[in-house]
Amino acid sequence: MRADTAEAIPLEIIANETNEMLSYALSELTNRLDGSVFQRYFEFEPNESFRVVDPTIEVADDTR
Amino acid sequence: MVGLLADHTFAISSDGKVWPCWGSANTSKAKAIAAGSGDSALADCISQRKSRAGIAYGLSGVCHQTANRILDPASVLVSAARGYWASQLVFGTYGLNIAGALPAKYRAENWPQRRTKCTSGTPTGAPSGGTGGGSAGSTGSGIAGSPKATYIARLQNLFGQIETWHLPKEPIDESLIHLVREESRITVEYRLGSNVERSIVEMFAGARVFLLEKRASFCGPIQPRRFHLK
Repeated sequence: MRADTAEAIPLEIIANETNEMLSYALSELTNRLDGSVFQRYFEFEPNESFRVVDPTIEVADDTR
Repeated sequence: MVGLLADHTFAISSDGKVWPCWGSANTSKAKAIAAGSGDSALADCISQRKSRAGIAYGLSGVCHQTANRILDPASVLVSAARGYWASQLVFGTYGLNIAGALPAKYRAENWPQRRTKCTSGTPTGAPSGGTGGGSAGSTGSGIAGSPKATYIARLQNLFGQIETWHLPKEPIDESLIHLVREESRITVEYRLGSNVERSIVEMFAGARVFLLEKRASFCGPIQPRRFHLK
């Protein structure tokens, strides 16, 4: 007796499904929230002037 | 993050470790968005395997949640990345804890599980002290006591209360929903201020739970609820 794992879900399907449900949730929030509240929550958070004291771990980003 | 204007994030350490977090780790094209002191060996343990840290890409998180897990010993979040707050709405800070609903081949692990595997030898399961001299939670994101440092500390405290996570039958149970709602409340208070109206907190919590249930229903057989707001 054995149990097999399901096939991996293709990334494209995952992406479409994620976009769909996120769009729905965002539209629901947009309809119900004051615009400025929505903007404040989702606005880009500028890099804060973090204190670097011999950091052993750094975070970096690049555009995917 | 797919379909949104979002930055890829990855992490590096001063002792030469690089965690690509599913993507590239090209430091020449990247810019630093946060830094903190922490135990890079612990971070490396959390990152296993393949710098994925127990995340199933697109299902339980993306590079943002992967990086947040790896950077937990330094009390750092990648929240300054573009698109972060949208991905956080879908997947939370450290990824969705729905490993029980995912096929084994994804090697997904819930954050409490992944974290506990690496911290079980340290007192109270907390991250060990950083080699750079700073204790985790105090230097990770800005000045100790700053709103962001407080936010991260509250999140770590919330997730630190969970030693293990058992989801034997149902991918979602009431305790997971409670966890998501608490995480949402802490996040909304950070983004909008601690005096934010309760109805707004509830709206975001409702959105988080809706997205959690939708994701879990995509992965496993449960009956999702519709997303209705009062």
